[in-house]
Order: sequence, then structure tokens, then C-alpha cells
Amino acid sequence: MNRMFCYLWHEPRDDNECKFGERFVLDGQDPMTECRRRIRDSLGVRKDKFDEGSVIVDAIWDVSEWAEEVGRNRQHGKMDDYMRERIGFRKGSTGEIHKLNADVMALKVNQLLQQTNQPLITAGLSQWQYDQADNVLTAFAEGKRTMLAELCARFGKTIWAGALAVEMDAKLTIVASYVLTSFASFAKDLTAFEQFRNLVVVDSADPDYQTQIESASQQGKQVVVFLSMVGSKKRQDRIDYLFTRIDGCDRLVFIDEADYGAHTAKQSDPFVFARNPDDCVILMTGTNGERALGTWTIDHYLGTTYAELLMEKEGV
Amino acid sequence: MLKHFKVDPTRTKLVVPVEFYQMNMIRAVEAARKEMPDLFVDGSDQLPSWTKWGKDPIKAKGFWTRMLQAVFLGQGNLPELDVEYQTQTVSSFQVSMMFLPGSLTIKGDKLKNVVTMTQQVLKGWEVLEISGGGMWNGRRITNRNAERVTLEAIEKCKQTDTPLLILSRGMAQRSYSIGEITSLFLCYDEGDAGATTQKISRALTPSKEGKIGRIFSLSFDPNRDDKFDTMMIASAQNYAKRKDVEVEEALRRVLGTIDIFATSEDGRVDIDHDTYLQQILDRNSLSRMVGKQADMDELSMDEIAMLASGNSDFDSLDKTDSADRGKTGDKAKGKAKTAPMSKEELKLLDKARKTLATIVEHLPYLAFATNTKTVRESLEVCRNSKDYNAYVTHEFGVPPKTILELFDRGVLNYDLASLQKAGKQLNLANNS
Repeated sequence: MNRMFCYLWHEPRDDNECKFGERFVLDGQDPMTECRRRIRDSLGVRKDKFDEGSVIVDAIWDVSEWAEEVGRNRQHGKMDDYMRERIGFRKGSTGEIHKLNADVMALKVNQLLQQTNQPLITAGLSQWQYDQADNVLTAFAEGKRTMLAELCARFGKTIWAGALAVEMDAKLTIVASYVLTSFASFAKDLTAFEQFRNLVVVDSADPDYQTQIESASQQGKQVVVFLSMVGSKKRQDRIDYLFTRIDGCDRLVFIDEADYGAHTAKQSDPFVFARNPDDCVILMTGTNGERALGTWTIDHYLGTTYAELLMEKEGV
Repeated sequence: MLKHFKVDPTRTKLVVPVEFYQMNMIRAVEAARKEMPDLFVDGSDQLPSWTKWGKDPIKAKGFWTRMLQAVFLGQGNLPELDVEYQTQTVSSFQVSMMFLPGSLTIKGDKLKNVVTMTQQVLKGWEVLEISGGGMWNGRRITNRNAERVTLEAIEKCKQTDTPLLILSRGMAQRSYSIGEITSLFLCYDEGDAGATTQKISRALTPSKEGKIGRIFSLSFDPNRDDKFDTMMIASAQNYAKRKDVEVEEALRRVLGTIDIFATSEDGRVDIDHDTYLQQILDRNSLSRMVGKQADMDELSMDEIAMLASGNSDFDSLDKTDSADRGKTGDKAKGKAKTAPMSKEELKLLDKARKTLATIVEHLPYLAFATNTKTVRESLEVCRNSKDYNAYVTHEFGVPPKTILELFDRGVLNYDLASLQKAGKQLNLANNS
């Protein structure tokens, strides 16, 4: 079957603009190769940029089912324009450039697709992600509630955290971090996959975040809230709201980069005091597990080092 | 068992292989000292170190110049530092990153001077300073824009095939993913193991297929350089637990997957399991880990005091009052933490940790003396023999029964004790 794909790319020199386009892929053709070829061709006399890696391909989506529904699953079907209208932030009135950071654009496309019958990509876990998710689920079933997860670089913590939210059927997942992490990058990953279709990601820095949470909850969605741990009056208000004013649910709480800033009493104490006994707290860190503990008292530990990732790759 | 997710075996493809290199810079120092005999001399202390270098980098310009010429240009007849010779790879465009010592302060322009000296030596290279004092296209560099600035610099360098060297004294050791970085240089003395792991990870971001992350520890004394040890030993411990194998076998498998090389004038030399095990013993990496991993929360304050003083009357102590202080990895107490420890208590804790490390360091001899295969067996033999019991109590400050208890309670890590024994056994075999 011929299929419609959309793609997104940007140049690192300008990360507030991105290009969103489409490629109609014929039966038997490889969609990845075809989309990349289309992007390269579109660069005209500057194909060298693509060849030397100065063009970053952010995402490729299969939108065939939706295109079929709206009668655009065909050559020059302009499915990209159809989606573009629903996203906005277009540069000019006819171009394919959007005045948006690529992560934000990808998030908007994901959220748009979540609202349709278009199946999203199925997330597969690496062996180490699977094993450590299983480890947490087992510990949780045994009554463990505060865990230290020492997970190395390249482990894939965001998808892993999302997988746990799904597996534990957590109504409210809080991802707290002291490090300046991009909400868009985090949210993009947590909206890209089929298994995450029921997740709604909310940035607690948004003025209307409470409305967003309540509206999603009422629709039976699982809510994932991103929360900055940087100290302020607003932080305490958000903690109060998330841990006390939302009743009737056990929370899944991730403290990201727990050994960096988040470990100090000033940052961790408000969370230690706010958490309910049945909330599951996972302190995630790449290094310095002991420091990451801060003022928390843990009842379970899990860890994966980079060497273990390599050993898995080598089949050792 | 997960309900909604399956394993995707292709995910492992993205893991970048890594090679570790221990580079010995002593000949570069000796060459520089011919012109400046008091280089790195501080009173009676003549040992060179990165800390000393960082305090006065202009004085050590001769050394810095020689080192850079050898590492990046293959000049100066120091083949043990020549990256292309050691790795047997040549590339025109490359992105390397160097982490410099903390003593190289931004204040007083020390880092700025090093950047300038580096630019003077590496003609035809772009040198990018990633620090609070660094600038790029009129913008001050911050943690927030470091990644973007680097990507811009890379794009510019790619167009002219210009190699790029990134210099940092700590900035960009986290949340900084640049796939183009293939070589990473650690130019500092002992560092926090966690920070070193973060720095190493900067070369592990995937990019093109076939990428290898190469980590070079530029060392004045490779025999004492333990930068890779914590990661290797922790990997072995995790693997042993997960696959239910002896930790020594786990370490063998870890070393079978990750290459550690010592560089030499004749090229790189692969450090095999036995050599590595002896090296980590010689530089006391295992003992440091025993002390660090000791779960002091399991001990009462009385027990800590006794261990600190080497008092053997352990049986008379009240063990129920857990210290409830300190930190550890994998045990739960489920109690609220108490107030921070006083200075005196912290001193006691530190002494107790050292005692525990010393105990584990000497346990292998018990296994040899009692002709037993494992540390546990040897302790059991000693516990049941009046003479051995008295001997251990006298020599270790605690009776064998207590040492067994410390293992059982998780205060002492049995894996590390087993590794210690395996290493000592190798030493003995090699010396006999």
C-alpha cells in the first residue's frame, strides 16, 4: 500500500525555525530513505549541508490512515498543509517553514496525531529498560515506595519513566528536576508512541496548568506533570497543589538528575514532606547515587552502568 | 513482566563503543624540566600534577606546548601521547573535548591564557572555550547555550574541514549531547567518580554509524590513576548480581567488552583482566570503594566508635540503635533522618570506614592461611578455631564472627572482598 509520511527538520544554527513537509511513499519503498531523499533534494544547491550533517532530521511520521480519512493519501495530497493549518506558527502564508523550535513543533504534531485514529509508532524498550522497569514493578508490588535508580547516560530515562507511568497506570506522574531541562524535548518523547496515547503532558510553569490537569483527569487521561525544583514561592504552591489538592490518587514521582541540585535539603525537603506514604518516588540519577539520596530514605536500589549497555549490545 | 511494552533488540545499536586510554605524560614533563628544572616543584614536593599546572599555566607553557604538539600533531618524539599513532586512526575533521582541572580558575584569566596558548600551538584548529568566561560570536557562553554554541562552532568547522578542540573546566559535563565529539581528554588529578562518569559520557552521544568514543586520561602517574576504576568495578558488581556470577568473572566479562589501553612508545597495550585487577589493588581503588560503599546506616553510633578505635569488644555493644546517618546505596531503614552529624561524629565515621577498608584489605591473607577458597569460608574456619579467633581479633580489631556479621548486615560488601582476594591471589602467584 502507498503511504503518506510527514517529516520535520531544522538547522542547528537556527533552532527557532523548522521545516515540516510530506513524502508520498510508494509500496515497496523505504519511508526513511524516501523522506531523507526528499529533504536532501529540497536543499537545492546546498545538499552539502545535508551530507555533512548540518541538517537535523527531528522526526518522521506515518500519517497514512488519517490522510486516507480526509482524502489526501495520494501523490501531492498536501497532507502537510492540512496538518499545518491545525498547528499554526507558519512563516509567511504559503511556506513550509514554522516559527517554532523543532521540539515544540514535534510535540504539536504528536498531540495532533493523538487526537486522530492514526496509529502512532509502537515503543520498544531496550533490554536494560525492560529489566529495570520490571525491577521497579516487582519492588512496587512488594511494597517498596522510595527507590534510587542509578541509570547511566544513554539509558533512555524519559521513555523508561513513561513506560512505568503506563505500566503502573499512574493517574498522576510528577517529573521534577532541578536541571534546566527542555520541557518540549521531554514532552515530545512522551507523546510520540502508541502506548503513550492516554498520557497528557502538562508543564506546571504554564499559568493554566491546574485547568489542564483537571480537564485531562476528567477525560480519564493519565497526567504527567513537569515540575521545576528550582526554589520559589511558586514551586511550593505547585507542590501543595499536586500533592495535597489532587486527592484520591497515588502518585508516581520522578526526581530527575537527583544528584544535581535536587539533592540539597532546600530542594528535596519540600518533596520529602509533601509525598504521601503510598506515592511511589523514584530518584533518577546518572551518577553519585549516594549524593542523590539527599534527605530521602530509600527502600530499593537499582542501577545500570554504561558498560552493561555495551555488554548487552555485544550479547555478553 | 510488562503488559504494554516489548523488548526491541535494535535499540542496542545506538550504544557507542568506548575505548579508555591511560596516557603517561612523564616524558613530556621531563623534557620541559630540562629547560625549567623547578617546573611543578613546590618545596620538597616534586611530583607533577594537574593542580600545580592549573595554578600557574604560563610557567608550565613548555609542558603544555609539548603535550599538545604530541597529542594532536604527533610532534616532539613522544609517541606514547600521539593519539593518531595510538589509535591507528587519522582524520582531518574531528571534534575533541578536554576537561581541565578546577585549579585553572576563570578569575585571573588563567583559563583564558590556556585557551590563547592552545591557539598558538594548534595552528589551523578552532579552539572553543566552554566556560563562564568564554564568548562565541559576541555571546557569553552559559550552561544554557553551551550545546547550541558548540553545534554552531561545529557547523562552521565542518565547512572548512577545521578540527575543533573544546576546552572546559567543568561546564557542559551534563545535559550536553554533541554526537560529533569522538575524543575526550581528562586533564585533572583525582576527581569525583560521578563527575568523571558525567564527563566521559560526553563522548558517548551517538552520531554516525561506526563511532567509537575514545577517552584519554592524561596522567602524570598512570599507576595511581583510578579515573576508570569506579565505573568498571560498579559494572562488574551490577553484572554479577544480574547474571548471578562471581564478581571476578563479571569483571573479566566487563573488561572483555570495554577496552582499556596503556599507551607506550610502541603503541597501545591492551590491559587484560589480571593486570587490571592487580592495578586496582595497587592503587587502592578497591579499598576506597569498600569504605565508600560501607553501609554505615546499619551500625549504631557505639559500633562506629568501636570500629574507629579498633576496639575488639564488639559483642558487648548495643547494636539496636542504628546510626541513622550517612548515606548508602541499597538499604532501607524506613526511619526519618536525624540532624546532621557533628564534626567529631563525622571524624569517627571516617575512621570507621577506614577500619572497614583495612579489614577487607587484609582478609585475603586469612583465606591463604586457612587454605580455604572463599573469604566467607576462611572467616568461618577462624570463628571455629580458638587460635585463629584470637589472632583475627587481635590483628583486625574485631572477631571473625563480627566480620561475618558485617557482611550479612550489608555493612561490608562481599563482592569487593572477593575481588580483593582474587587480586591478592594473582599477586602472590606472580611473585612466587
